[in-house]
Amino acid sequence: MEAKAEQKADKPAARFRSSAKPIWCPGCGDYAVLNALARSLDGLGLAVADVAVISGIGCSSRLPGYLNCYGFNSIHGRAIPIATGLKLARPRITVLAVGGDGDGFAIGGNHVMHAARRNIDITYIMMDNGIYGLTKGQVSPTTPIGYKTKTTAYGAYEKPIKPLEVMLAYGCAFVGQGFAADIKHLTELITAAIKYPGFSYVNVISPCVTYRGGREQYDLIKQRVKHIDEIGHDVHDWDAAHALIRQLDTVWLGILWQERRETYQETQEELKSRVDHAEQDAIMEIAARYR
Amino acid sequence: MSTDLAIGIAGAGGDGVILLGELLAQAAAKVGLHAILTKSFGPQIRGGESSSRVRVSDHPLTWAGDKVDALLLFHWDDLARFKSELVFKKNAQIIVDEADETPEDQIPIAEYLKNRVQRIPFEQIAVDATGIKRAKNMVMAGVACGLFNWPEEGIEEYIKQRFAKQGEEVVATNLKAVLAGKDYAQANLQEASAVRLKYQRCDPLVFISGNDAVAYGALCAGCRFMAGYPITPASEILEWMARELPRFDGVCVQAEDEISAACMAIGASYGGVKAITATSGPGLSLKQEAIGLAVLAEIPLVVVDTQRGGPSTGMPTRTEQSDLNIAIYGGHGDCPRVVLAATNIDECYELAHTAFDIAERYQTPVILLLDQFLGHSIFTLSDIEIHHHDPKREHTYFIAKYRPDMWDERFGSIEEYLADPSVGSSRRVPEVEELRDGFNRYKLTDDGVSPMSMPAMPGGEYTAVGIEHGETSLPSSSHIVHQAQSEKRFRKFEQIARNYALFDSCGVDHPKLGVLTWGSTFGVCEEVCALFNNAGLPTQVLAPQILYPLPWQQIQSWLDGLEQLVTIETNYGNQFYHYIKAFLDLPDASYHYSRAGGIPMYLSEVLNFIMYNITLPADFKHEIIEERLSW
Repeated sequence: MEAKAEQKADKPAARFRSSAKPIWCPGCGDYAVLNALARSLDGLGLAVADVAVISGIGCSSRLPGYLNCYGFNSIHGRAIPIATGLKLARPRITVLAVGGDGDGFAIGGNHVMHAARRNIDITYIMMDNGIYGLTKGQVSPTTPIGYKTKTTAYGAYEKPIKPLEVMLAYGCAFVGQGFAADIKHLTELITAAIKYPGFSYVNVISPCVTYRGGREQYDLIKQRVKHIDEIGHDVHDWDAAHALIRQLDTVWLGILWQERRETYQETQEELKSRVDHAEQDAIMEIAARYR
Repeated sequence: MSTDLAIGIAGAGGDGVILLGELLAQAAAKVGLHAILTKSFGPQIRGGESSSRVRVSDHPLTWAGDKVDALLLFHWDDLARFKSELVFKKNAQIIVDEADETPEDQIPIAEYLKNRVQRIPFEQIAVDATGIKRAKNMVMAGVACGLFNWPEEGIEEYIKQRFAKQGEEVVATNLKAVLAGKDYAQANLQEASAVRLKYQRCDPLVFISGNDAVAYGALCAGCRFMAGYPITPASEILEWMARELPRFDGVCVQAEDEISAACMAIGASYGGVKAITATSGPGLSLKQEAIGLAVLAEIPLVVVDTQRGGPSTGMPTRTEQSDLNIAIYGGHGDCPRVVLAATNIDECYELAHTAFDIAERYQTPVILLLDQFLGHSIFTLSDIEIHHHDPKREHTYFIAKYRPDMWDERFGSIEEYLADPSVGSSRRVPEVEELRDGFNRYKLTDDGVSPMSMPAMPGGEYTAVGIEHGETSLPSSSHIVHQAQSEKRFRKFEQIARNYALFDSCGVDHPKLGVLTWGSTFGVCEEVCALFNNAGLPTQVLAPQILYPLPWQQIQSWLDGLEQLVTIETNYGNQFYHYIKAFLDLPDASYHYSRAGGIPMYLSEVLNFIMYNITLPADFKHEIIEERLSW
């Protein structure tokens, strides 16, 4: 019920919403992410032409099509490398990658680690629903043990990964978590992530009400939610962030960790200042080296 | 005296075989001789046996030559491994280090060659002249000067250039060793040499590998983004770009995997920057899905494949032409992509330009095929100049035109930039009216090419998609839309086939015998062609440089004029033959030679195959072919 109410609240789309109607099921958490993202981009005062949102494949990866800005709905698992290529080629564009847990932590798992390591200045919004929704209900890397899906008829038996813990271990510059039932908080979190220089990761608990339990999920999760802001957490304290993530019963919302370090773009600029910068005409002179 | 010589070198790790090969080849290029240097390694990462082959000539060379006129050998043991590759001419001269004490009866060469062996105390000469044993490769270079009339001035110039950074002393030591070798040869060996090079000094030639040439061509074509993953034998392209791109305001990324490399290039290209990725067989397999994405989303993309022996890991350091099928047919779905194949070193450079031209104009992936032989061997460029440098930089142009607020002052003033008539965009830019009422990124057009906007272009916002879509880029599962968009995507290829009918050919105009080949095998076929024409059978070789879309009509009319056809390719499965047979009517008398790779195609095997199979005219001068085969 919560999510449906949220859908309506933002009906007259902000300038970042396209007219395309989402294919998502009623009650899907992804509506909230779409609205929060559109609000956030609008609030940041960005021109629609200067934003690009890149995705792979999955329910949540349909999101770019519902935005009014540049976008790329690509192939399964490859949102991050495409976003990386775009950002490095066009550093002044605000680039985001969006997608689900199967896209980002199963088929595309390799890329997330390297984007975090390189500190590409993009924001990655993970809509974590713990299931493969678009293919109608198979186990995902974040499905809890014991949960019955179409491919785990007797209950899931593989230990799920914990996205926040993984991202912290990858050296991700910014790690935060939001919840689809709290659009206001999510909007603020996404805004902070976009503004943060470097690779920023926003994990969004975005329930699938069709294949991963019903709408009661919103209430069950709500009971476990606590806000990081309220406990005086130091976002630069890695151990403290890690300790919070390890509290498995609590869903912590807010910014867990941030570390300002050189972005890939900054290292490139630094590198370019060191190399012997060539004028365009110098291209011809390269041939002399081979003579 | 000869104007065309091939020398083989074999040795163990630490002997300096590769350096010696480079030295001999560079020396030739410095005095204006044409040269090809091929290198061959054992499986060891470092050390281990290696061999190289240098062929020089006063005319442009197209292939490495099969039989060598002379062999420089450090130990008889080293020859054993390369025996199948280093084949001698009948009168070949074999120079071996006297320090090797292998008894006469255990020397691994044919009996008739044994009196062609000369032992020279390389190590001793090196020690006497410089006090350094390792300088024996320089002594060998000196012996080559004295014995074979190898261009000494070229050797001197290259040593000075190569060791400049290590200081004058190193240069002097090396030169001393060369001189000592030359003096020894002139004093002791002069009369024995039947192998001598005849040349006249000319301007130095550019001496470059295929991998470097393709990277250079890409840079000149305006490429400013590369993502790649290390893979033999293509890594040099990534390494080259990693050095050069930052100097030209470009970006080069070593990606985490092959898939990522292709996708990063797609991301950059979506952003309006000309982008390339380079790989070999296994990487091309991994990139297929991304290439399919570039087909459906219509993103320009250049993919270089320096082919190696396959399948799977296959033979990473060895040449083969076996990626034709995957290059043309690799994607799932109806997945047309342009496939180009370089026939020689000039084309490595030229086709890099062509690849970007086609990719940008037709918003399509282009696969450019090289092979390990072209990629790793070093060649003198012949008839091309490092001529054009395409100043078209799509995103710079867009920014100047549409977003002056984003203009980078380093490029000078916008007015000046736009006043330059050579700047612009090869991509089809949306007209202002096309942006007015909703931009149709995948608009159905007569030629299949739709306007393509790019981030930061106001009014051009759209979502590029790998899912089937209507004109606006909205996803569609309508069979009518799918048909219409498929037709549009294939219409582009009709244009490409018309506008880029690229061939390499040689021989006479109205041939009776046609030789159809592709890629670097063209080189050996050129020499075959000359021999058959001399022997009285009018012959022509045709090698399409564009393999998809193949210019069917031109090839068919060429085939229709032939009496006999031979196809030649270096892969086990006859991939090219099966490909053309599916679409073309071949003459009844058609013969197809192909064998697994590992080594480039040799002249003798091609000659033997043709002689054995085809019908020869009554007045055919057999002796010309036989003479060549008897070398």
